[in-house]
Amino acid sequence: MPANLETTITGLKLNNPTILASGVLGVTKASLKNVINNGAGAVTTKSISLEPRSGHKAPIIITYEAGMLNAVGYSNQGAVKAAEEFANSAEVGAPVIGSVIGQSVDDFIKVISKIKNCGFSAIEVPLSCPHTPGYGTLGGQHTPEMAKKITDAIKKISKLPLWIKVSPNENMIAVAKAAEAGGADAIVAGNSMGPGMIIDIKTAKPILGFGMGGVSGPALRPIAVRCVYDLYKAIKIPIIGCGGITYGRDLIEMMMAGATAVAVGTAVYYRGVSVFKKITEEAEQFLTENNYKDITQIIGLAHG
Amino acid sequence: MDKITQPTIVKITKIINEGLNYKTFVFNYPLEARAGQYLMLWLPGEDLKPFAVAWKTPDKFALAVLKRGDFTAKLFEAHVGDLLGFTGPHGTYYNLTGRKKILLIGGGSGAPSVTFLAQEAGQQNIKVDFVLAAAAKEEIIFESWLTAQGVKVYHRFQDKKYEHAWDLITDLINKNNYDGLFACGPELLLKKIVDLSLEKNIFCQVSLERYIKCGIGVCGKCCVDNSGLCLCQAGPVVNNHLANQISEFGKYHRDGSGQKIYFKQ
Ligand SMILES: Cc1cc2nc3c(=O)[nH]c(=O)nc-3n(C[C@H](O)[C@H](O)[C@H](O)COP(=O)(O)OP(=O)(O)OC[C@H]3O[C@@H](n4cnc5c(N)ncnc54)[C@H](O)[C@@H]3O)c2cc1C
Ligand SMILES: Cc1cc2nc3c(=O)[nH]c(=O)nc-3n(C[C@H](O)[C@H](O)[C@H](O)COP(=O)(O)O)c2cc1C
Ligand code: FES
Repeated sequence: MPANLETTITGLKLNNPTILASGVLGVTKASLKNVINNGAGAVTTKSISLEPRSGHKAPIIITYEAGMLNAVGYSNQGAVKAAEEFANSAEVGAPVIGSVIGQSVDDFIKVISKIKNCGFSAIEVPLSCPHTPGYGTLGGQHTPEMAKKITDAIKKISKLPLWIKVSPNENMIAVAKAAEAGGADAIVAGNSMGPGMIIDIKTAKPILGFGMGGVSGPALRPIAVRCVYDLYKAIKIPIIGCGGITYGRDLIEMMMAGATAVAVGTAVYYRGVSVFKKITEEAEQFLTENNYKDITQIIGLAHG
Repeated sequence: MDKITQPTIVKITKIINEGLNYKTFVFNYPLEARAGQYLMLWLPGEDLKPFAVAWKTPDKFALAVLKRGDFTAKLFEAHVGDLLGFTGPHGTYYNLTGRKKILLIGGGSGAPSVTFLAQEAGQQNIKVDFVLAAAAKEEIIFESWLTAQGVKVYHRFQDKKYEHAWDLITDLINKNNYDGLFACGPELLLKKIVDLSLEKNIFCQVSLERYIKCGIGVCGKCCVDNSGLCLCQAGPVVNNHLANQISEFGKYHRDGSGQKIYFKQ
């Protein structure tokens, strides 16, 4: 009998633990559906802001020996158009998580009220983007005070499970604990790290349009695993592990560190959109070969 | 993890003024690319945008650029000797396998992807007719270059009887037994070409312009409805059947923020 891959996170039942990370594909409902058809257990929308944003100038994404740098700059249609785009999200075939961003507490509330009828299964709030002025770490949101304030405010107006996405850089545990105290239902650990920079030496210019950008992919994986490992000891709410997961073994590793589900972004570049199916199959093979009946058996196993 | 996407730096070796608002930039670089594929061209410190390869020789390649907005205006200020970067070639390419007599249609900023195809077809001794679709006579580019490739060039400014490029195109298709239609240009024109090719059962490929920000299938800007396919990789060249399955084809595209922009009928 093949191992059971189902996992439940904040009440959402996923066919398998892989979730499309916010900002990779996911700009349209059709794109989310395509990712689900390629095996994702759930999907996250591109982050939605109050007003439309065209984002940073390109290059917005470059890759190097160890991973990826991105500075997309939160390009998105804005809350009004997003509400039309993602209407009836429940029909795409798996849970859709709406990612919401704002520059102030009020922004978050306004965006959530505009998208409240889309059929999202949960709301994700990144306090942790490292390369967009006004938002995330650059907007001063990655502090315990802001985490508590934002979670408190959102929990007052929304019944959906609330996932707070933290940065692997610093403050992680304090921010996650404050979010937990504010009523967050899960922690996503985490966003890209850095930011980093790559300079083209022939033209002596940073390559990314924004100059610097968040580091993701394989370079981030061991850091993300350690973050999840630390968080598992520090908080009680479930964790979505995210950072560099590319192969089935990486998913297993992240869950052994303490994640209940995982988000996958950069690996779409390395292995195509069918990476969700590939990771799931590889994980299933490992579990079956090692006599695990249920993937939930391995959550936190590395803690002995 | 040996997959690295970073710009390759090249020097502009030649700039050719093709006419009103059109310039060809030539680079000394042995590019491996097929007709229909595009490069993401980097103006260091400015921005990066998609351009089809317009022609190439074993040690040179060219991009032909129509001035439209900020990026292309900045590019027009570049000089011979300036350093630019590119990633790619990205995307799908036209397929000439089995073709004997074809009609190519190129219009506006879409013309360069088909001029390269004319060059490839010429090298394979395929008979090529080429319609240059343009709003004004001054926008006719590459006419003498195409003629030199052995291509028969048509445009509506040669003959008063055609008011629109489409009239000229249907006339040519009705009079000739083309076994392939290949086109890149205004989407409403492409839609008509695809519809006609399906009706007449002629092999047909078109190159579609969607907002391309990364070119590597990650950012999701180029995803089309309803399939969600990324046209930066599954395109830009698609065959008529796939084009017909794209529900937004001939209806709308999206801008850099993802908002829909409807084509004006
Ligand atoms: C696969 C492909 C091949 C292309 N090949 C050529 C070519 O050979 N020669 C040529 O002159 N042009 C080509 N284009 C179009 C070219 O990319 C745009 O004209 C250019 O990006 C305009 O930039 P801008 O800043 O000057 O103008 P803007 O004012 O920014 O835009 C003018 C128009 O160009 C389109 N555009 C802008 N940015 C992009 C983008 N990142 N991706 C797609 N469309 C965009 C928009 O729809 C807009 O309506 C191609 C586009 C694609 C998708
Ligand atoms: C191109 C790109 C765009 C991203 N955009 C967002 C975003 O809009 N919102 C967000 O919360 N995270 C965004 N991220 C971060 C990812 O969701 C993820 O947390 C990070 O990349 C680490 O996971 P990975 O290594 O699997 O990609 C983006 C990452 C990439 C590579
Ligand atoms: S342009 Fe980024 S996914 Fe196609």
